[in-house]
Amino acid sequence: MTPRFPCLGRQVRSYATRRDFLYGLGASIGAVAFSQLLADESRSTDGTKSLLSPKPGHFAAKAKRCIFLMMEGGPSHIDTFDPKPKLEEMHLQEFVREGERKSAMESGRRYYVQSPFKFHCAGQSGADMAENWEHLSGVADEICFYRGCQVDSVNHPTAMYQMNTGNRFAGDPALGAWTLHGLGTLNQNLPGFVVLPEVSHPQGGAANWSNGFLPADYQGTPLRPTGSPILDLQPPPGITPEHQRENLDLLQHLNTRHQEKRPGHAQLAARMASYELAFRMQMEVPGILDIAQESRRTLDLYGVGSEPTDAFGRKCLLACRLIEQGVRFVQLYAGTWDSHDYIARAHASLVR
Amino acid sequence: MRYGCGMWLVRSVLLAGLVALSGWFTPLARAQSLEAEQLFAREVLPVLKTKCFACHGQDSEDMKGDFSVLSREGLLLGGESGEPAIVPGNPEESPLLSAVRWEDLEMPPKENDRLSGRQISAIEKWISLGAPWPDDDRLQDLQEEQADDWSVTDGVRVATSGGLSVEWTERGYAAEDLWAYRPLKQPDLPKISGQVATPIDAFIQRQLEELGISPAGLADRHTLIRRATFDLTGLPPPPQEIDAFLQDAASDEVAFAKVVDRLLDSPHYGEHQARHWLDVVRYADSAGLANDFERPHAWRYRDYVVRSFNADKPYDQFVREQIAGDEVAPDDPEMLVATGFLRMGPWELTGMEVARVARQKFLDDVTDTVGQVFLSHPMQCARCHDHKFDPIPTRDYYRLQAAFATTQFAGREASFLREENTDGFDERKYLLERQARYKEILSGIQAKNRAAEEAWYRERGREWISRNEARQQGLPEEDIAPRHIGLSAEDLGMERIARKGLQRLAWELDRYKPFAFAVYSGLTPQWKSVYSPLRMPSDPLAKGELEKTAILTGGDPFSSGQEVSPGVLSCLPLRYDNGMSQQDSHALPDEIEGRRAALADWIASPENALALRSIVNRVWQWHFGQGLAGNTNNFGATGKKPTHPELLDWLASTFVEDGWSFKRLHRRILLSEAYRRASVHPQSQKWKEADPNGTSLAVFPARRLSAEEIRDAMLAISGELNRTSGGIPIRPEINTEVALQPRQVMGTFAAAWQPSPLPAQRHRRSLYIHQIRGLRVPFFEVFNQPSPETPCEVRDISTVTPQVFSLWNGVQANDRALAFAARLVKESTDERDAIRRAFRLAFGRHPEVTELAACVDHWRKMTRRHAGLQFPAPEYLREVVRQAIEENTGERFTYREPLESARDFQPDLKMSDAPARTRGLADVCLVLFNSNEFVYID
Repeated sequence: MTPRFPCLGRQVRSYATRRDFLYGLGASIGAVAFSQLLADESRSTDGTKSLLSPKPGHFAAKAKRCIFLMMEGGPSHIDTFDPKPKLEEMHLQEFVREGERKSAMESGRRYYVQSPFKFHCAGQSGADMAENWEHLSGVADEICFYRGCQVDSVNHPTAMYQMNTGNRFAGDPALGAWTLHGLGTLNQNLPGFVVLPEVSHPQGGAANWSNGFLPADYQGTPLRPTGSPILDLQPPPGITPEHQRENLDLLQHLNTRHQEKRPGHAQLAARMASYELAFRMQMEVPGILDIAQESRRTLDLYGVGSEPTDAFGRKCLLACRLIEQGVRFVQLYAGTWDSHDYIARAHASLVR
Repeated sequence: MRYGCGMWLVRSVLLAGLVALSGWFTPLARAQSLEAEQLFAREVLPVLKTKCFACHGQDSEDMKGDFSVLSREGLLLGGESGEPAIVPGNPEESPLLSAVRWEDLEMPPKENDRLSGRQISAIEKWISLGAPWPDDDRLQDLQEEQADDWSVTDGVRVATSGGLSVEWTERGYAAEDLWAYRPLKQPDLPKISGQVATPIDAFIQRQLEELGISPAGLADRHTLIRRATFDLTGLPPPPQEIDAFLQDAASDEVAFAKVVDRLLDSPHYGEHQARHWLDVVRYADSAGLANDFERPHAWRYRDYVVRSFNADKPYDQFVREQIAGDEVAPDDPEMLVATGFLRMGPWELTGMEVARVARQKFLDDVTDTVGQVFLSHPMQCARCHDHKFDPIPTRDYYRLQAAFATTQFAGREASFLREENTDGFDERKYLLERQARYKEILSGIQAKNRAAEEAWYRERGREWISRNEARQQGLPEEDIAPRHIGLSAEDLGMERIARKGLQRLAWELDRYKPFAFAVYSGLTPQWKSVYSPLRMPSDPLAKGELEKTAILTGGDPFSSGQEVSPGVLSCLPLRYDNGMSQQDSHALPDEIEGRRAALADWIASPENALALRSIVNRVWQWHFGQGLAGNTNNFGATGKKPTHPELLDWLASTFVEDGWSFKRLHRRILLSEAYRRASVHPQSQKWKEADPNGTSLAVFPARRLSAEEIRDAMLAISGELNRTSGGIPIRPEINTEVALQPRQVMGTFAAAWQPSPLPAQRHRRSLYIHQIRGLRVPFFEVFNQPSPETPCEVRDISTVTPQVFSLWNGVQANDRALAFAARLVKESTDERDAIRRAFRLAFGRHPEVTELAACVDHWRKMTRRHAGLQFPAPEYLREVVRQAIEENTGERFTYREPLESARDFQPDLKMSDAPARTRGLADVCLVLFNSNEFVYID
């Protein structure tokens, strides 16, 4: 496909998406043949190093990897880390928004509303924090607060695109894709940019982790949160690996005869190899992402196994495992922050 | 209509309005003097003009620092400081140089305007050579003397409507980057040593001779009919058609020509070519973004495209209809349907969006899309600035955009045509059932709320009053019953689900009404939001704003710059002669109506070389997998250059001579030897060394089937394919976890994917599958179906393991294999006969002896396995239970979403219903569907 913004430079090209899933979850299997396949792949593309090889940054940085917790719907700043005492004076005063940039939603009678939460200064740095952050205030000094981030749209998908890509419209590379573009990734056997969505994808969908006009190698790889992380990873119920192996043997017999008559058609061999790889993956992958391998203590720390923290805790722990394996960028989605009216109830139920 | 022959010329730089110092002379060597003058004319003066004149000279009222840069005199005089700005012969003593180096003064003051290293050294050298400033006449002479030399190093100048800076306007281009804009000339057929079958082959043969390689021989008839049938219809050839071709006693050329003609006449031809076109125009049945609302009549545009290809509609007409059908023939329903093209991009206007921004999104989308689709030229690079590589000033971007400034959206009444398929409207009953349920939920909740309000007022000894009325009467808030009184979080959640559900249904129920997804020309309505299907206003000129188009600074709709009038691309020598404007040779009319019709005429002109190269290059790609120019949507400097530029031009010229006929173009291409060649080269090593990128066409490039071809071929081979054409979208079975996955849209969940209840409805061609932007069919996604967001240039072909999971484990492939097995059992006499037939249907050939034996053995072996296996009948859900969170309170609640059509669902043949012998054969069939021979065509 044409890069959407060729004006960014002639070197921007699109590459086959083939590598994505070869890295895929297969990865931590660590099978020699698998790595070999990848090595061949990277050579055959353009004879140079993989696009995902680690690269030095322009500036020395302490951070090597990133976990991006995307609180979809948006925690309200005035109710979390950015107190606005003036609102207490103006509570329930009416205002009217005017101007050409006003959307229909912003019309009508609007009121200033104070935060239902009390604030305190947490940690030695004295960070402003709503009091109901009972755990977070203990690590206040580990946190960098940035209060300058704004988007131009109150519309969910547009605002999400702008958060993730810097552009209100879908189609630009997400932060994770840029990170891979600039820094490569640390483990060539895992996708460099993994996304852990909710069961329901966020508004705006997969464009939130798009590679945009960058090569497809930088696209985020979503893992399904329930059931199998990849669709159709398992054979139909009742079909055993032995059963499939016999089918696979006939397939490769036919493919071999077909290939003999077509020397020089490299894709045929690659496709045959992908069947062997898939056969191994479907047996080995399910264990790889299994956080049950973690100790009870770790699971408890993440709130896994108890409500209401289980789902979010699982994803955080999985993100951590992926980062430890050398994934450069993990983005994790946690929804339901789109509280409109009953902030005291709605936000409080999500804040710990 | 007349088209002027344009200026395609090296243009000299005009230098005007300069105050020159006459009589200047220094005792420099003559050569050095010339060098200094040239340096001044070519590099120094343009820098002074663009970077200094604005503040230091042009405005004598406001001369910054009292310093003029307009002349050598001014420079020698200096400014407020009283010091000369230059010391001729001594750059290091010249304050001008240290200022542009940002050493003491920082000039120009803005970081963005700082001079480049090259510009600074030019000034330095010029000062060191004595800083000559020739007068206007001398400058003109220099320009003329050096024009040719400078064009080699500085590039070819292209006349345009003008960029935002003089530098841009006067910049040069590498000659080879301008190939696509050059006028079309029918090239002479090349002289070659050997004999070739067609003109196309002459061009290819010449390059092969230059490379010193001979082409592969011609493919055998088996290979050829499979290749041509997939290429023209997207389906495999049935055995009887293969036999007819194999047994045809005519010569290979004649027999194959008959096959091609038969395929071009097939109704499936239009379906398959439409798939290509719909990739480019990003067809979808939904609007994308936050709501992803249904586009209830998009399917009529899809079928219009199919009909157009089948009728071999001339391409120029096809262009006019899609860009301006409503202006050309507003009373013809087909013409209204055709304009759906203009609205194919994702778009919505919610109450959370600024209307002007949403409008601009459409304008930007349509401007860029028209460029990519018809001109192979992305336009959006020029949205915020003059194009960095191509001769497209941002002015042209907005001039082109002005052609759409009066284009408005409407669902327009357009009665169904006799040739449109209106079957299956009966499915409306499921939607009506859902609508009734939502209404019931809402009235229940309203009643509950009302009862609580009544009780609240009763406790206060007052009569019930509606909330609205109470507020209108100005009652204080404490005297009004609290909002949502009596409602639980679940009630509030269900209220939202039902209300938004009704909103979504209004779009879906529109599908069965005779409207077209269309446009009209008129004033821009002042919408706040669009939550229901649009209709045509009774008078398009009565209300709204007559949009004026202006260059938007940085592409921002709130930063209007200079106004522009409608126009076409000024870098193309082809002008649009509107009979009015002598000065503006590329202007379009600026009346409300007719702008698009004129634009379409310009695009579909036999002289529009860019547009003609664009379309023939696409068709070439549809057959060879890659265009002669490798980026079919980008003929600009960043796109690949054509490998056979003369062939491309020959095809484009011939296309016009052939009456813009796609079918004739296909025929010419398919009957060439290049198309009929084998895909394997006898000396593959030698060939690859001479032609490492495989662009010489010495062999036919083998290709993998597309996602849709794989599915359609499986259905055709299993005997399940329903070949009906057209009609409302259908839904096959997809992975249950995806079908039922909650899908967030604004404030609610979209409805689950309910497969069409009857097998015959599901087993239609893939073209007819409901294409929802927010819910892609997983099988298609893994097999590289492009996303319908941007115009697809060419489909990626990847080989990844999820394809294996999908085709090997997925229920769709397994169901097709089982149906194929059942067909074979029914239609054959014995095991060997069944396998022979399987090979004929799947591969178009007979099995070899060893293959036959291996497959029969495998069948027996797997039948023995299956004899011991029991498969439970699959269960189909009648409803989905969803966990939701009430938006206002953050409280969780559960609700049930009934799957209305599930009660009528008739499953395909399943393992639980098939005997072991059929299941054993299904394993063989699954292997065939997964084989390389099935998914690749040679």
